[in-house]
Amino acid sequence: MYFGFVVAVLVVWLWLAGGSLYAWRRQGLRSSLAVLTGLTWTGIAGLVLLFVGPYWHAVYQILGQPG
Amino acid sequence: MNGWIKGAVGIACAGVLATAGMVIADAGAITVVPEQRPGHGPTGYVQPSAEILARGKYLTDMGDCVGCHKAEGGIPYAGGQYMGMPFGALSVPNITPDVDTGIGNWSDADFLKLMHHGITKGGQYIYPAMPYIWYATVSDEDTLAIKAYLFSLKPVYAPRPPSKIWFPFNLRPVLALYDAAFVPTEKFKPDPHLTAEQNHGAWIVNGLEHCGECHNNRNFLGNGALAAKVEGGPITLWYALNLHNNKVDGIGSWSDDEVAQWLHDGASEHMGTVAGPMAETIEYSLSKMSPADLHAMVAYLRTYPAEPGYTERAGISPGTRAAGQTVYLAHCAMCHQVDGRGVANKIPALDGNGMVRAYGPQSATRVILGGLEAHGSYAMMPGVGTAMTDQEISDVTNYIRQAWSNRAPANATRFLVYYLRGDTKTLLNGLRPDGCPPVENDTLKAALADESNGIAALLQQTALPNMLQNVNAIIPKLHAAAPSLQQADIVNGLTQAYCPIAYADKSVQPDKHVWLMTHFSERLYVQLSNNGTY
Amino acid sequence: MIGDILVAPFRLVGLLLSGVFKGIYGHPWRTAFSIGGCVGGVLLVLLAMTFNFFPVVSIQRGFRGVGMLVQYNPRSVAREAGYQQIIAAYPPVQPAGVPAEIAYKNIQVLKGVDANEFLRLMATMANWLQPSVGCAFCHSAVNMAEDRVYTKTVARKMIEMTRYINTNWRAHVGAGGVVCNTCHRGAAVPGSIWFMTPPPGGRHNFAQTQSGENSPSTVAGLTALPNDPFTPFLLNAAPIRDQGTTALPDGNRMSTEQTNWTYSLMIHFAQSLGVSCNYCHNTRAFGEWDQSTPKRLVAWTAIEMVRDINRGYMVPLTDVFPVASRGPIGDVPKINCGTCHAGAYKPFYGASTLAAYPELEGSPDTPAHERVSVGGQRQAAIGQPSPHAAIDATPAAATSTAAGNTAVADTR
Repeated sequence: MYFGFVVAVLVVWLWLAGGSLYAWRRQGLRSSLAVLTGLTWTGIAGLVLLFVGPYWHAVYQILGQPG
Repeated sequence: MNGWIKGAVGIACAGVLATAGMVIADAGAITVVPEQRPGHGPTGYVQPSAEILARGKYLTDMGDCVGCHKAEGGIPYAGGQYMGMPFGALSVPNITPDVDTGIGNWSDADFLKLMHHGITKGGQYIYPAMPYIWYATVSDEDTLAIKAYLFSLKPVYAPRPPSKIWFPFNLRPVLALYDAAFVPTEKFKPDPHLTAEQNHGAWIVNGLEHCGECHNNRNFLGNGALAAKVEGGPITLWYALNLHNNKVDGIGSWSDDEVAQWLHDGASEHMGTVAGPMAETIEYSLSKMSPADLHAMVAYLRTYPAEPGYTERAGISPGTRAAGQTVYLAHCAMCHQVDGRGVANKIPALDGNGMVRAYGPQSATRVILGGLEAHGSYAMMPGVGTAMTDQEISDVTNYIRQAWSNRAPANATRFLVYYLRGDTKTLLNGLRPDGCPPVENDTLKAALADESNGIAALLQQTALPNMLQNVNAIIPKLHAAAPSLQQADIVNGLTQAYCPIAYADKSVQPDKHVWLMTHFSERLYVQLSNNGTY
Repeated sequence: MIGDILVAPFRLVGLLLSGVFKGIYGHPWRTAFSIGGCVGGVLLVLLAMTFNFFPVVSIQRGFRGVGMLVQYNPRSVAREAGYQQIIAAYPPVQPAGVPAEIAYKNIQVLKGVDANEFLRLMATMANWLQPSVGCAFCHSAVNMAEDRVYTKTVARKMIEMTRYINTNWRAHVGAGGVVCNTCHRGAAVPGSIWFMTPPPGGRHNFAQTQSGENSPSTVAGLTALPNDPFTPFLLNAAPIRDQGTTALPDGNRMSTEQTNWTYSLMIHFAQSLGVSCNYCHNTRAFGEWDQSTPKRLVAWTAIEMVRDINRGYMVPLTDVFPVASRGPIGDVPKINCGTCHAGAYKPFYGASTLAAYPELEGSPDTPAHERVSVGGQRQAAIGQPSPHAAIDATPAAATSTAAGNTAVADTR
């Protein structure tokens, strides 16, 4: 599951990175900046997942289970 | 950022830490073979008066110290086991008066500081897995009576194994923030609005018995309010019941006498049998308390507002109901009956059962997965969940929670079952990592070790085809050899003794060994409860 | 500014998509080709996944060169073989010397069986049926002798049925016979059972018929054939019929509907036994008995047998089963080919443990059961006319499967 999370984040991130490159080549720096912001956000999300992931048992026990 | 916000953030962090620390999973506890041998007590020990010792023993039992400070198969109070937590495993220290590894060189002040403030002799903050926030309201005199009793025990040399708690949760000083926020500074004071009996109950419930440790619903900050609210909540992947005086998921349906009797025996006519961590609480603590104290506890619990944990309503999809009913008929209805009423004093009813009606489905699911040992006059339950899929278990859990007069939310999910399955490893579902446990009951162990009565030999030869004959032969022999054994002790103990024999039986398919064992257990129960007649 | 940052990922997705499709939009035929190609590719992959890939094993079932070959895919056979593992018999026990009805109370069916042998059978049945629940599956945990649990009543009837099959239907089950585990395989409910399928009623779609055609179900191999081939053939005695062999209706009154029904049943045969048509039939002429393989006679006996035990043993249990265990129109669970065969040409590939349990063998003087009026039973159960009334057989037709219809040429 953890592995799946990390792969999913990596795929999205690579996708956005590709988009950023594309936007930069086609439409200049301005659009590229917007994309780079997205990259930053997903990067942060990925890092959080990377570090919170191993604790998913605790997250589920405290927040996920009924009650 | 001003200081107030800093403090709040700090407390929040400490709360997360503490919550994690208190989600203790005894079923998933990592068993170790502890090194335990006779140790050295303090020099110049003076035996206190018998009165103080008796008082100390009673209070120690009330505080349920042995429930945690005893490894499976180890010496009571010598610690040595690990308590599983999501963030690692906390080892339990030795509290016998051994000077090297125990508390033999602790002064009264050291002991009080630990029991009332959660700080060890070495100045280390301890995890709130130790219920010092409850013990803090107990008077110095009573606390020292406990110390006097502990010091009268035989010292055991049992070094504490290192705790295995992950960074950053192993930073103990952070717990000071938690202590500052939650540990009461005042001792217990009677409430003038309550009767003397209710006040005595409050002293027990909110003090040594620390009911709220499990029965308070934990918010994100761990344990927000000290005074027991006992509305129930998930604990150690079980679900502690709501103790409020309501008829939905509380104790409102049952009489004072029955609740007190249940607290003592773990089984009663309408409340069914105990399961999970509460079984240990009853075994080590509540069963040793006086009826007057148990009644006082019930009287106090009745003073809480009768808030139910949920609003009763029918809420289950027709598909889930049909699927759950099919599973129920195939696996459950034979004993618990199609109408969910069970069999009086033998099979607990599921209709109106507190564990089934609790807001959380954890306990019911775990019993399906792991089975239940015999209790009093009640039968053992095999771990039927081993033969069922996650989907089947979640369907049948939701079905029984909504069937008959039950109207608990149908909130069991396949993932929850999957998750609980990983943590449910019992004798009766055959998934214990260490295989078969040793026989716990000493009387039974002696009877089995005595070759002259032939019980062990008969047991050794027992297989499915001759099971009934051998069970019928074993029972009178056992009654003769150990007349003091109760029915449930015999069923549970002989099942433990038969476990290795069942697993060595070559005539059974490998995955059916556990069922051979539970067939034996079941046969034993039926023959015992019917005096061997057909 | 903050808004810009938040929507940036969405903008980016739009940007990417527009980039991808930009080239395509400009050229209409390219659009059609690319979309069509994608859909076609997916369909092709899905289709390819249904194929049996090489190598497959061919078993010759008739004369050489006439295509009488049954193909087995070793990979799927290996998967199914796990389900065909027979549970070994328990070792014999010393006789107690007293019959069960003297040693124990309330023995009704297993009278005359030695008391210890009786216990051995009971223990075996616990393992055969529902090991996780054990004895309590049929016996009350309070008193083993009482009949509180309905499964005990069913079990008695099923033991009678087992004896009846082993006595009267050796023509189908052969020397190996049947035991409980032949069908149950460690489960309370055998893997393949059937209920009457209610007709689609008022809500059926325009292509569906009252006879269950065009309602694809796995029973009929997801074809347009009727989805309940069991009620007419395995409960009622409708004739199994095909189209005529002559161009003009020369005495053959069989309808297309009946042909469809027959084919639906044949698909069930093939699926339950894991074989193809030519296991029993010569595909040159399906109807000719003299060109069919001997297996066809065994299969014909099976139809008679299953109908017989469904009527004689399952239908009378209708009121014993709790309502939730019954079918959508309140009928009892019933037997079909897959109940015992479970995907193999013979249950357990011919292995049997009956010899170790002589008390299940039955004897020639097993009392013949009373046949029930099936149509009447069902009408009483559901309170409405039979959905299959049109083809419900007359009593005379019960034996007509073999009777003279020139089209099928039943000349066995």
